[in-house]
Amino acid sequence: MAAWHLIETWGAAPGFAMGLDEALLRSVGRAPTLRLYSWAPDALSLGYFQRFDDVPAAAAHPNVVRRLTGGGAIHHHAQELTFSVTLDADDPAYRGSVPDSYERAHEAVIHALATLGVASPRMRREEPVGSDLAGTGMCFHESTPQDICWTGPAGALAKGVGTAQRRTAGRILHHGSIKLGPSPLEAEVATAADSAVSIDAQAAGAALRAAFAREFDVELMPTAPDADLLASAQQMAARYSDPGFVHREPRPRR
Amino acid sequence: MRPDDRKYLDSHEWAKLEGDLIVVGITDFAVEELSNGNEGDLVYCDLPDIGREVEQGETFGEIESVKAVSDLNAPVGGEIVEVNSDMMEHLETLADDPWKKGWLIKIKPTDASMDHLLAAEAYEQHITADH
Repeated sequence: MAAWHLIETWGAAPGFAMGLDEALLRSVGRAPTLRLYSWAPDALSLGYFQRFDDVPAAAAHPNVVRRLTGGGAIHHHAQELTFSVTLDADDPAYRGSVPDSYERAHEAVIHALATLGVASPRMRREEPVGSDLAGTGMCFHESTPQDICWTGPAGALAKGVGTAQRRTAGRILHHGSIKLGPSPLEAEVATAADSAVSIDAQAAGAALRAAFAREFDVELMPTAPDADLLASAQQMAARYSDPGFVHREPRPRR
Repeated sequence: MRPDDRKYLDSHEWAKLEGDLIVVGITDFAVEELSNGNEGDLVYCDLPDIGREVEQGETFGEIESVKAVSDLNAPVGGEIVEVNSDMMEHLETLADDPWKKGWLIKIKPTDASMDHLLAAEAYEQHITADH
């Protein structure tokens, strides 16, 4: 059985949260790592190529960072679990196409949610969802067939997990956000609370840890970030909330 | 079998000698890997400015699909002398014709040798072995 590292950083500062993921991504040869974390203070993360002005909620939020991964903006608040997986692109767990890797990871997330008592979590496939909302720039207001959904606050199927990947230099960073309770910035989104499940991020993380071990047939070994990793993370952290990076203007989209 | 008139990187870029320039693109395999098989899966491509110098293996751009951001790596070092700006506005071209119309950049190489790159047969073996 392969061994993965498990790193838990509860209440991570926004820049450090992103810097540690980048440091893990750039650690060629490091064992696959599942990281479980929450944010303090709460923050809004923009997708790698998003324009700041395309996310109306960003202007009013005091803590905005930009992720290395793509997609839309996410509100990381007290009732949310963030996870990341970092590993070599040829690792058996993620080998193959991007959609295939999502299928496997999402099976683990769905299993964890079902274990916690969330009612019928599933990939959207071709079902209509009530959480797709135009003009917010928020990740949870745009869905793809592989996004994980369940019944949301309006009684309709809604997106409850947001995920995105970065692939660079033979390594993969897979970000995920699981909604445990609502945020005013993410109206209509499904949360564990909609299934009458009241749970904090650490307990949800324990379920996710067990589900990843089961799905990928690996042992997850609790691991403290070593000094080199921490130093890299701290060095990289500054960029993520730097105004030049947060407000950068990607070239016009088609 | 992929075209044998060009060489490949194991990160799925291709390089083809045209005159004294090296034309660079990504393979159909790379497009399939990034996509769900739907038009519109590729959503953004960031290519460099003309005149930029790149080293062999250096990241010269990035491409975003609905689910992943990936680096684009230079098969050879040199000066970027042309960029396919039409493709940046019509990313479906990458899926429709990655070998010709979907080219990304043209490099005036500091060394035109492509001996370090994979031949088509070796690239086929690489993607078969890895996937």
